[in-house]
Amino acid sequence: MNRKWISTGLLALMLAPWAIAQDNAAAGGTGTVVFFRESKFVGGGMSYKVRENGVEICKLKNGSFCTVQVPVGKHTYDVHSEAKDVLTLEVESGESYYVVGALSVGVFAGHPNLSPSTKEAFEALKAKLKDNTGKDLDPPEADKKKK
Amino acid sequence: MLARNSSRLASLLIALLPIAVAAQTNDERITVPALTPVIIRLEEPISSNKNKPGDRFRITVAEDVRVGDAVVIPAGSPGEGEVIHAARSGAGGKAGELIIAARFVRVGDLEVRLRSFALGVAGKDHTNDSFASSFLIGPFAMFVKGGVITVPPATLGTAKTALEFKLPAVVSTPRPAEQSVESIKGEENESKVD
Repeated sequence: MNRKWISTGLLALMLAPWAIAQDNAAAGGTGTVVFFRESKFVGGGMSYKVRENGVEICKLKNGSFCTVQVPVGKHTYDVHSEAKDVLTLEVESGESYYVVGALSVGVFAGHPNLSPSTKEAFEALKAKLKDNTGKDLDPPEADKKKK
Repeated sequence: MLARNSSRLASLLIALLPIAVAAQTNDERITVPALTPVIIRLEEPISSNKNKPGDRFRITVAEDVRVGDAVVIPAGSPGEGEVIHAARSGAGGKAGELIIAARFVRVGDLEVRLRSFALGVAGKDHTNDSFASSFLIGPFAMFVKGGVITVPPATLGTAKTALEFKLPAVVSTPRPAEQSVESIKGEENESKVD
């Protein structure tokens, strides 16, 4: 009986360092992604939606921005009209990421584009931008079917 | 009965000896806190028109990382970075895009994971900046030529340790005179492609 207890105790002690080492496991958390679009005359009437896996997360109108909290990890955002543009970010806990939307010339419609940007670029424009976070979004497909 | 218990106690102590030794060894290691800044040097060129997401590239530690006076990650330690996003420059004046991350540096057998990589902002004074991690490059005009972003080798950037690590002190030497941010930037400028 005693031997069993001693063996169990020894096993627990031997495994303890491994358990401590596991604190190196990846931490969870969220980061912030800010999508913004400068107000411009050309293409000003056209807005486009930023999607991730088909889910709308931001409608970028001319001169607007959205702030989105997302889980840590890789995120792929796309915008499209007659052409599609994709931007991949790797979000880390507690960090903020800035993505600028633009519109280039297309055959029938402007081509929306997402590019990496900086906090400084966003802050320089922020006063002139309208916060469109969570506005003008369609519900996900699953929610549409329920209705 | 007493003799039997004594022998059990002795067995237990002998069994615990390796654990005690291991604990002692761990105590000699130095704890490197999470988010300790690491100055990184790129060892190969990266281009928005040539590289693609998932490409790995070589990096090294540009300056000794110290905890107190002890060097825990020596300059020259090798590591790897990864291209997160790359988009070629295109028609209609679309500029190239590039996002890269520093993944780890190797110290002995241990891979020290990195995060919060920012290129072109070398210097320890920037560690508290809220720079987007693993982030560059679209607006960094100094790397752009004809819409193509090319980051030359020897370009410096900053990263942070992702987790707390225990590392052996490599060498204990007095801290050298603080290198100014300007001198680091100067070195970086010399490495730019014309």
